[in-house]
Amino acid sequence: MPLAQAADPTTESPVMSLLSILDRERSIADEHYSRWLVPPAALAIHLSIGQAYAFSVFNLPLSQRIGVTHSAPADWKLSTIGWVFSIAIVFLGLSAALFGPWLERAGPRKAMFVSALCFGGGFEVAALGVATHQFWLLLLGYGVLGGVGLGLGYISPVTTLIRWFPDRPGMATGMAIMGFGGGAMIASPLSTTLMAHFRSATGPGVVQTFVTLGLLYFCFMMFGVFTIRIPRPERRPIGWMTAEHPGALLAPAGVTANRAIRTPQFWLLWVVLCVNVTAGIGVLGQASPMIQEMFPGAITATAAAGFVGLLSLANMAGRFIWSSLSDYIGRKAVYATFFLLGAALYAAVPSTGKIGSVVLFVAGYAVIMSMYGGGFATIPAYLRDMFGTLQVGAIHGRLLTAWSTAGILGPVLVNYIREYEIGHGVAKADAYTTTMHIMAGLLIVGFICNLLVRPVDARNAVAEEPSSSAATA
Amino acid sequence: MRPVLRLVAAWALVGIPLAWGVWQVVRRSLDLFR
Repeated sequence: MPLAQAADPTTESPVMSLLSILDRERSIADEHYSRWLVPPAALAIHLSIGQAYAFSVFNLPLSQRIGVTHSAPADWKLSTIGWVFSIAIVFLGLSAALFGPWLERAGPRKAMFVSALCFGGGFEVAALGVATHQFWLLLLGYGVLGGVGLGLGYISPVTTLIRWFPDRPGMATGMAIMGFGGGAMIASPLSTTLMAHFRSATGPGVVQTFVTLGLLYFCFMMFGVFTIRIPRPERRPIGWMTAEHPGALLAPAGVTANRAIRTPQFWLLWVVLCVNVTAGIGVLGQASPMIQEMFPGAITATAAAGFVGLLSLANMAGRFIWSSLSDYIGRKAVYATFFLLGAALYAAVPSTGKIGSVVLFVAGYAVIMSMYGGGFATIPAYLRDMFGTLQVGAIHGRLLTAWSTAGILGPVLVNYIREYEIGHGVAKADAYTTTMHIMAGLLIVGFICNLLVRPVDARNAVAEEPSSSAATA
Repeated sequence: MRPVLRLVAAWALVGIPLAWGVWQVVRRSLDLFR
């Protein structure tokens, strides 16, 4: 075939031609593109995948698929259904770690498209699993496919935002990661409304709700896919790779992901994230029973649900506020605040239960939750400070394994220590005190690790060509 | 579409669902203080 004919786009198949719109070269911004379009594109992805945190609204209906109004003997048990969310979070960490380097090559648009396919398609496969009562299909759909969608969707827009906002990386990534916290707030009432609409005498409406959510989220994520752009190679916004902000720890140039995981800084930040998430996730999972047991008779189940809602608001707000603050006082100072203030609050809050102050208890945990969210949102900017932008997406993906670890460690610590205490005759209201003191101790470990973080040795860095920002965005 | 309109539309598309979700939680949280 003559070379000229091979290069002629009219000879391409229509499908390939259509898919080429996802190519990195086709997503480079023109001179009229505003970088303020990138945060809504990122939010469209994060608001969608944030649905994962609201999966528990399906637990009870899924356990009544056959019995409809009650759990029949053939129905799935709640403990079995719990595996779906756990597998999704494990695959989030795995896919973010494994596909990070591919994301760097393929660009954010293609990665976000694959994420939308996996996340939306995962719902459809899960719907098939529920309709045919095949648990493995539910696990494959929501857990595996959905989990891969979560991982790819989590890191792709964050990486792109860091490159568009080198002057305010904390604020930019905070906006997107705030969306992940907000996603559950939309998904929970939306799912409940849809299930109420589709509920019938033959089923709780989960199948139809999964099908609808899969289509809705796919379309919403497509807005993000086609709005996202990468900066032009020559674009160097104000503040590009300069240590002009207090506390910044900038690498002289980019560090590759493979090189980064061989540095002590990566593992110190891994522990920093793991400790921060462990402490927060342990409280988040136990918030409702904890407030009811600490204030017996004063807090009803409805009021406890309100407390959980308030904590999720604090979690979401903290993602934006703390990460934006990190642009001014530096990432290290923000994490030092998380650990010192967090340790003090974890140690002090159980006493508010003893003196019977609900307001102080709620305020204390709201601040703790804001720092939990803030930890997630500030880490990408911290990584950029340490390793540059060269492969920050891939490095972020690998660091998210700390989240998967904390997802197991946090609830285990809180549940088992509490059970041990109660088993040894400690009153229910006092059983949380030891756990909270252990969390405070963990935060001190995080504080020391954060204190040990120093700039990366320049020998780890590779020279960054002026054009590589677009090539790797 | 004009650049400003495009920006407003993009932010509205993500802002409206987010505001609705936040309102649902705020409404539920008020039960804590009743």
